[in-house]
Amino acid sequence: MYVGAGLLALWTFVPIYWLLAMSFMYNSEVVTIPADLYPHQPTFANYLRLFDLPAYGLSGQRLATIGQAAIVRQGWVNSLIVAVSVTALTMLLAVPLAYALGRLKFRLRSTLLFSVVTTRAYPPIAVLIPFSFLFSVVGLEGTRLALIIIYLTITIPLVSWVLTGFFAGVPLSVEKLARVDGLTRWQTFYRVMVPVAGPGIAACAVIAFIAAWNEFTFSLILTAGSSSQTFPPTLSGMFFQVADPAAMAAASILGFLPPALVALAFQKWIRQVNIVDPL
Amino acid sequence: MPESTFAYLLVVPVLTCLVAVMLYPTLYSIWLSTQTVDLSINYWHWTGASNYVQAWLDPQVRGATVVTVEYTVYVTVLAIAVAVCGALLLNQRFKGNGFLVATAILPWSLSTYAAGVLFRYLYLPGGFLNSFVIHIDSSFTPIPFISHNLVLLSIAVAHTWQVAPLGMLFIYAALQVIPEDLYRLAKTDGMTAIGRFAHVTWPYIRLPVAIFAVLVTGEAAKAFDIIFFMSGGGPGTASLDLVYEIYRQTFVNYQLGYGAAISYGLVAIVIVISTAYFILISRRRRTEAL
Repeated sequence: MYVGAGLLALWTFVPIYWLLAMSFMYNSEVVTIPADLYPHQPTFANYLRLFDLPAYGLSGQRLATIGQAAIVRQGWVNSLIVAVSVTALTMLLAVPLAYALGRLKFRLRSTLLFSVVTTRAYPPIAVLIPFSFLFSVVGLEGTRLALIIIYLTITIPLVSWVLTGFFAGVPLSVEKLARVDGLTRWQTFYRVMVPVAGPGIAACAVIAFIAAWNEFTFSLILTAGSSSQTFPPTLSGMFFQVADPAAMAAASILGFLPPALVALAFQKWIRQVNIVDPL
Repeated sequence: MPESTFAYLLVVPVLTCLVAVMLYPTLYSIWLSTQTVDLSINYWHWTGASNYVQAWLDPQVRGATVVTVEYTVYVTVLAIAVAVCGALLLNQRFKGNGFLVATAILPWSLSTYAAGVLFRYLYLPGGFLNSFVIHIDSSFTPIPFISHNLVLLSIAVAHTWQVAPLGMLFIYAALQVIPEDLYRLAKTDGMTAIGRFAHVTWPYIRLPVAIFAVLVTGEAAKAFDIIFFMSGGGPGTASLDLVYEIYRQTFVNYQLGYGAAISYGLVAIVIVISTAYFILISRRRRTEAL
């Protein structure tokens, strides 16, 4: 059993460990074959170089900066703005939708539920060209607003699906009691059902945040090179421009940190998510 | 207010917005798939189904379809195996279990593009995996993970790393509701470990496994960013899947109509597969409920 536990720990952590280790190593340690397996002289030099701050090498020589500080900072800030906006809007729109789909009886319920799921069948690539035409017509080309709108078409179906299950799982008696107590349907919804489904709603907010922060394809095509470029395409751009593994590792860590921290902080709630329920 | 009125009141505004945003691009891309487009001379011409016919006959598209199918099978099989084994393990009592359960979510939170970045550095000739073995045995020749024969499997492992935690946690949740008495009974009945898994555990986790399979199949068939970061579709066309082919036709060759036609082929495949799963699961559920 401990062998299995060890294997699972290695499987989860080795890829993350290696990038983290690389980000604290000097390039000379990384590019040799075989590379050093851990930083012999741990250094923040890569992070400093990334932000165009002075950093010094092993023999005290001044290391060259990466020259991408403004782009990295901008990508990070854009990702933050986009992800937070998408999360807030998604919850505002998807919570009532999921409540109705999970809780109320009406004729089109299962048809609508299924069609919400089907929108997930689209590869982003398939609707990219029309979206970019659409955005250029309405003057949203290369803006964060365009990305936010597109991401909502991804997160709302995803989150509604998961939340539908949460609402469906709340005992019927809770809702009945509220109604007997004389609450209107609206009051029952936002005073009773929303708080009861709180953990599920929190988990879904995290899922929406992570999805928006990490989205790559739409952002690459719609914002690469513009001032609203988010972090993932910034990173892919650097991959092809900067032949500097240690600095790339440091940049990647900066981009991976927010979703990882959010996921760890809320993992208890995410674990309660049950995708099976709505069926 | 009647229940259904209230339901429509909640559902209709959101769905209207969603449809309004989705409908135009969808119709537009369907229209686009019937056009022959050359952006360099701004040539747009209606050619009906010819893009679809061309895609059907195109050896490159056929090759990409084979890659997509092969890749999807790799990822689905690997991810289910890792998820089930991981969940069974997490369900045991041992020191450090809480830590593993809490951190299992990490790879999933990092998304596929990040998995591409991480595994790219693991796989390099001087990356962690090869370096690790060379440190032990200096005569070791580095394994070329991103080579013609290995590239698909290598990327599939990275994708599995990212996607498996989701299934692991769903299955883990399902495992926790199995009454321990059932296992005790099975043991006193003389059932082997395999028998206990098949007759006690499996009925409880069948549904989450099936739904995880739907999710993974869809994700793997649409894989793009992880391939973009790890191999760019290469070497040659060894890891060029359908989505990558659509990307190439649309954004590299500017064959907008052709790219759209191929993407509808892919959408059709994904919808057929997920509908099949969906019907299978809900039918099974209904018979179980009876």
